[in-house]
Amino acid sequence: MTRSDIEQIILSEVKQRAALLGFPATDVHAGLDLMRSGLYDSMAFIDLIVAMEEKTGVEIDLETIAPKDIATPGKLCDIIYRQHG
Amino acid sequence: MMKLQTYVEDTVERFPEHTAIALGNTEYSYNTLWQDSDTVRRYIDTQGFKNRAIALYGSKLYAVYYSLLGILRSGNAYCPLNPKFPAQRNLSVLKASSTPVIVGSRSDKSFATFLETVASRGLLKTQVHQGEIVYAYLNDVPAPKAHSDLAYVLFTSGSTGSPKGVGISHAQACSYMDHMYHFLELGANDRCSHTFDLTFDLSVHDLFVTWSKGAALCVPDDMELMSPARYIRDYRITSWFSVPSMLEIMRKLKQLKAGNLAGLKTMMFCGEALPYTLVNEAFNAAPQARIINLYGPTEATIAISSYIPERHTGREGVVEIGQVFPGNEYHISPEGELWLSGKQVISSYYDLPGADKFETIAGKVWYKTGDLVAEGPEGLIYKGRTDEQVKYRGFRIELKEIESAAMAFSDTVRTVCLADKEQEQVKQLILVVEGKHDDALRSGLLMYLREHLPVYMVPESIRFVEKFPLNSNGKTDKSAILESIK
Repeated sequence: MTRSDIEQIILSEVKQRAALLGFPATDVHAGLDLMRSGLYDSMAFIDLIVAMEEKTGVEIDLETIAPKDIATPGKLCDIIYRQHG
Repeated sequence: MMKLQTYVEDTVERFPEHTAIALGNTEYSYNTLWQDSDTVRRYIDTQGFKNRAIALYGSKLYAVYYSLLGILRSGNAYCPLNPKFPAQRNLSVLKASSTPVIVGSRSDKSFATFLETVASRGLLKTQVHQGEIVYAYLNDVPAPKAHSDLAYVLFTSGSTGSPKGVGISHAQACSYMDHMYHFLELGANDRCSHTFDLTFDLSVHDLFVTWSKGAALCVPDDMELMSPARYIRDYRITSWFSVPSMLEIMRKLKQLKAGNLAGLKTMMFCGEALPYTLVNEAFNAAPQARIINLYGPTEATIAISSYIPERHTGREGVVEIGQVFPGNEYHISPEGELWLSGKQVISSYYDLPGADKFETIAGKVWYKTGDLVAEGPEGLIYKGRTDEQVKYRGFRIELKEIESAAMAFSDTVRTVCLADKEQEQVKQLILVVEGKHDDALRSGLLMYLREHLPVYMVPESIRFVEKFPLNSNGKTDKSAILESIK
């Protein structure tokens, strides 16, 4: 899986939620702060992480990774890509 | 007479240098907290307010905690405004509480933004800055209702479309405190979590139970709360209190591994049904901990019953809500509804004295909770609701309030709000609109709901159904609608 593949998986998941909540899809980009933008609350964010674990096979351990280090699709992608090896 | 702040005053004398609040890497001692609260007390005293509800804006900031204490010490009640709520919601609380002044922190940017909105509505009279604290005075405040001994005023979801005010007196809050003081095995070296916003009355437990014992109140920010086990470990939490949904978060993140929360002595849960499956995992993660399930509507002050599940019982379903605290009593109506009366229970709403949720029998006022219960061998067991109120991630929501908000957006639009449940746990809120799919209507409606409702009340999904089916009584058949869109 390339970095761009992973980013696409994340962005498509985020866009689905944006559509559900009536957020303009154009506002969804790699640098969007998912929580601060109001698009995600903590529960939805955890669901996103679990969904990404399932789709990429990479475990995201929030006991070692600080949540702020995966606050945007881009940052989340970096972490998954690094561990995906 | 005992006041909520008296518990803190006693602690300041016994443990002046103990940590009262831990916020990130900064810790504030009881002495510092008490002295800072005194600046707020003295200023409000000079303004001559007594027994008023004073609005307190902010969340998880040190200035907010000492202001809260200062407001109480000045002989007034605090009425929290939540920065996470839409401005419209906070404005309606200002109006309903007849507050003369809003207290907030100067370095809180969201407070400045909120005050701009207040000013744009012509409600802001003047602002006074005193050190870190801003006092924003309001115009045209209606005459306050006569209240005495009031400690705090909170607003809960109301089925008519506007939130209902619940005013809790010091006597009611102290009745809860007296029980908890002896019930909980908490000491001056404990470190307690503070996961609740001030607009949620379980926060009163966090603050005052912790401060009554000389323990440290540890305040996680929203990001830290995303990884509860990490927070518990990093901040050496010994007593955890949250909604069961936080336990569900830990489970999903695989943080309930054996012994992973070994430092915990107590885990308390309240706000929604607590499943035994989660409790068993919690016992596994926190082998030393006593787990306590609390129950109680805001109207009955924080919590009014408790149950302590045992380990290894192999039980299923939801944990009992247990025994009602001393000084209070319950009655189960023929329909199975739990009625409450006693030292912790209010007898009318703050802003709606005639609400039909109260019943007076032989001079005793009962609050009709709307919760269906059954009596089991070990106390009360929760069975559901008499109405359409739901608990979603611990938040109490009247589905009708969401429908009312949709109707306020456009009275030609017919909607029903549905809670999609799995094993009694709400998984999502769905607003169904009658008519053909209409993208413009959908986004306009969502935008409006986001501006008027707290985020946890905004439906996750808006769906369209051309014609609402009717049941045999000729009423909209909600369960048929839910089936049809699933």
